[in-house]
Amino acid sequence: MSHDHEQDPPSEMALRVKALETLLTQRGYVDPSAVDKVIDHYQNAVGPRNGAKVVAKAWTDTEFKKRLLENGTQTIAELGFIGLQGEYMVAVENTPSVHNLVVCTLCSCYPWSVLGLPPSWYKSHAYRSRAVREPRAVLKEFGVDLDQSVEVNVWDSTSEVRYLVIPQRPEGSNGLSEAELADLVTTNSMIGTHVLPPVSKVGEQL
Amino acid sequence: MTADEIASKFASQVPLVDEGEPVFNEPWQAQVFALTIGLYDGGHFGWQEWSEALGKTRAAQARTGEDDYYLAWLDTLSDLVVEKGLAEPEQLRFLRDQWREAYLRTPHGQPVELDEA
Repeated sequence: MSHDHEQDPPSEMALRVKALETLLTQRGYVDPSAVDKVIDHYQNAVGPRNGAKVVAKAWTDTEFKKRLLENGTQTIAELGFIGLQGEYMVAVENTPSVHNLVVCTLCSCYPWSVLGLPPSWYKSHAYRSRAVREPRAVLKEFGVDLDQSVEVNVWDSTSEVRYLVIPQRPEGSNGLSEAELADLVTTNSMIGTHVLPPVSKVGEQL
Repeated sequence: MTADEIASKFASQVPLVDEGEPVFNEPWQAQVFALTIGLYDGGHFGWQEWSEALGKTRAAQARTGEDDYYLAWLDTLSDLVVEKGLAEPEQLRFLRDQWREAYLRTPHGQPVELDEA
């Protein structure tokens, strides 16, 4: 296996795009915030739905979940989601007593195959530097207020290993189909910065 | 123009994919896509012009057996910005090399930035 070394530069294509972006921005031909807006818009069409499908299947299929936790890469590949760089996928499960949070120190360290493009906050210097140092404070800013008794595990992604958080299944979601469950899963919940709220009335048909 | 407007404007022109199929597999693909839309929006070229140029690149790719859609997108945009006088090939190569060096000298965990030369 030829994994990328941590300090390898991105692909030739990525570097060429960076060069274009730098030059066109410097010269005022494109507005970087408009570029971000377009990317943000398409972010939702890219990949988080893949991760949501993995999570929903894990919630409804115990055997699948067991395999997922034992061998993330192979089990996620069962659904056809395969990493482009041969990276390993590790799934970590949130429970009432353990909360998992994922961070990366390089912006490329993100499970693209299941989550698409990383949100901008994930790439921010603030998040990257604080998530490891003070995860509880960071989580609180995301609205996740954990009891002191809950253990917080922070997973630092590398170019070789990417993490997917399996959030806790929302209360009140019994009776929902796998597809309906997948619709409840947010990107942030699969990074660990969101706890899925209880479902109300969703299960009531007509 | 809001992102929604951009989306509806390009709805019939962007590569729509089946549900569940990722639109982009890597961030650079999204970036080159967004840069293209930014330049189009700034009136630097028309969409028809873009489509034709992209079509030519795709056709050239097909002759060599290459089938990377976004590489075609990148090649087309690189050519078009030069053709329009927005960029020079030497300058693009220079910046590409600068970025490569920036990645190589930056330790893991530090934000990668260009030297302000």
